[in-house]
Amino acid sequence: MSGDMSIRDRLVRLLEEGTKDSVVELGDDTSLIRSGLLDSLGLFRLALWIEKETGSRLDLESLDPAKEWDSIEGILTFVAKHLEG
Amino acid sequence: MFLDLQVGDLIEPLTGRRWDRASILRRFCARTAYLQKQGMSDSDIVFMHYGNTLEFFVDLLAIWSLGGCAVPIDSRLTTFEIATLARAAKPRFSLWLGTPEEGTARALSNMGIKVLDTSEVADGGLAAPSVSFSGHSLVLDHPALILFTSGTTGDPKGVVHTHRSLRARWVTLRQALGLRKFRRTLCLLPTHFGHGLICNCLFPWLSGQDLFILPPFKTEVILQLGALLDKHEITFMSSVPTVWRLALKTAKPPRSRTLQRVFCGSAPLSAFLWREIQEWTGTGEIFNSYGITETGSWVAGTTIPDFTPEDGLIGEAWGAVIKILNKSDTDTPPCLTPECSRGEAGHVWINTPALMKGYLGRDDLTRNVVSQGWFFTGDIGILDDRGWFYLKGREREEINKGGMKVHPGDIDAVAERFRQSPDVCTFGFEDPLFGENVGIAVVLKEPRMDNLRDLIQWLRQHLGTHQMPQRWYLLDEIPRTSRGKVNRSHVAQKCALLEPVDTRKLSR
Repeated sequence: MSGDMSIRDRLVRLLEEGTKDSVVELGDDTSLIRSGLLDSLGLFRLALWIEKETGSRLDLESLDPAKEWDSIEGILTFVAKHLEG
Repeated sequence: MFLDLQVGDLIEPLTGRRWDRASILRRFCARTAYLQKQGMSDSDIVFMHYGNTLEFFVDLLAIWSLGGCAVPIDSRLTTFEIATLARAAKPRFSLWLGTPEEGTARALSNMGIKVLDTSEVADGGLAAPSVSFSGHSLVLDHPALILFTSGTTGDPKGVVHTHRSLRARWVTLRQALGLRKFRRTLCLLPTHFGHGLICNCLFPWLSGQDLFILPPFKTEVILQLGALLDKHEITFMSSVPTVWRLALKTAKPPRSRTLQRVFCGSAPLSAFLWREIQEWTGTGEIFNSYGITETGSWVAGTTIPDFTPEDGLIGEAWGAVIKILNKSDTDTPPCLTPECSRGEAGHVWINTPALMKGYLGRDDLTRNVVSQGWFFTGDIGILDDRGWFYLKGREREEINKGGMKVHPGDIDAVAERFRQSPDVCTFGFEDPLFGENVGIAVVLKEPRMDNLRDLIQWLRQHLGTHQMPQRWYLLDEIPRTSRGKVNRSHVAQKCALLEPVDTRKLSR
C-alpha cells in the first residue's frame, strides 16, 4: 500500500521504475540527472510525482532540476521545502 | 543543392563550434577531395553514422557533389540492425566520425563495404578554396537520400528521395512559409528521419539560414531549452509533443522571446498542450505540422488565420493537395473514387511533387501506397467546411513513441528468433510523456524467469534502445481471432488488466 510507505520509499520506488534497466543501487547521493541515470521519461514522472507530493504546480522560474533533483537527498529537500512553504 | 546558391552558418550550441560559410566551403572541399580519393563516385550509396553534427551536414553536401546517395543511420542501432540495413541498401561506404565499434566495422567490412573514419580529414587549412559547392554530377532524378522508416530487424523499408523530390519540398515550403522566420533555426530532432533532416534542417540551411544543431532528445538539453533559445536568439524550432511535455514541466521559459514560429509534429498535439506551448514560448505561432517521410515530411500545417488550438487541427496544405477518400487501396485510381463529404472522416491521400521515388528495392510496397502519383498515407482525417484539414487517427500498425515510429513487427521478428521460438505480440500502450510506448506479451515454452531474462538480453543485443519494450507480460497464450490472426489492440487490452513483470528484479 503506497499510503503506508514513507515519502522516501515512494521516491525510491518511483526512481527504480524509471531506471529499471540499470543495476545501479540508488544511494541518497547517487547522481540521477547529470549522470544520465534518469532518462527523460524518468524525469517527467519525477516532475509529476513532485507536483503530486507538494500539491502544487512547479514554479519554472525558480526551478533548476539538474541541480535540485540530481539526488534522492536533493529531491527530498526540495519537496520538504515546498511542503513547508 | 541550394535554393539561394549558398548555405547558412552551422553552429553546435553545446560544444560552441561554429562554422561560417567560408569555413564550411573550405571543409567541404577538403572532405570532398578525401572521399574522392577513397574512391567515392557517381551513384554510390553511403551510410552516415554521425547525425546532428557539423560534419554530417558538410559530408552530406560532399556526397551529393560526387553524385552519391546518403543514408543517415540512427546511431542507436545495433550491429545486427546496421547489417540488416546494409544487406538491403548495399552501400559502398560507411562513414563514421571516430572509430566504429569493432564488431560493427567487421560486419560491414565482411560485406565488402569500405568503413571510413572521417575524423581523420583535415579542416582544409586557411587557404581560400579553389572550387565551389556546385556538384559536377548532380542529376535531378538520381537518388539523393534514403531514409529507413522500418524493418531494421528483417525487412527494411527505405524511402528513396531524389534531388528533384527534395527540391520540390524545399521550394514549396519556401512559397508557403517564407524564410524570414527561419533566420536562426534550432534543431533538436534526429537527422536520420524526415522531419528533422529534410524540413527542420535542410530547408532553412540550404536557403542560407543559420542552423543550430543539438543532440536529439537529450534530457539535459531540454532542461536548458529556454536558456539556449535566449542565448542564441533562436527564431524557429520544430519539435514533437514529447519534448514539450518535458520542457513545460522542467525548463525555465525563454526571457527574450526571440521565437517567432514553432512547429510541433510527428505525433498528435492536444489543444491543451498547444496552448501551454504558446504560453511558454511567448508566441502564438505554434503550428501543428503534418508530414510523412514519403512526402518529404511537412505537407500541411496551421498557417491559417485566427485559429484556435483544437485537437487534431492541422490546417492547410503546403505544396500538396490533400483529399479524403473512402478507399484504402491502390487498385482503383483515386480520381475514380468519390471524395468524402465535408466533415466526413475517411482515408487521407496526398498529391505532391515531393513524393518519394519509391521504397528501396520494394516495388511491391510502393504499389501498395502510390496510385497515379497519389500517396495513401494510412491516416484518417477530415476536411471541414472551410477546407481545413484535421487528423482523426491512423490505420497504420506502428507505435508512435514520442514521434519516433516503432514497428511492432520488427520487434516480434527478433523475439521469435530467440531459442525455442517464443510466441510474442508487441503492442503500444499509453504513456504520459511519449504518448505511446512499447509493450510486449510473451508466451515462453518453459515459462521460467531465467528464460525471460535471457530473452530480454537477446532483444537488447538486437534492438536499438528506443525499440526495447518497456513493459513485459508473461501470458499462457496470445489471444487470436478465429482465423488465427493476432489483434494487437486486443492483446494490449488484455495486458492492461495485468501487472507487468518487474524486469529490474530479473537483472539482479
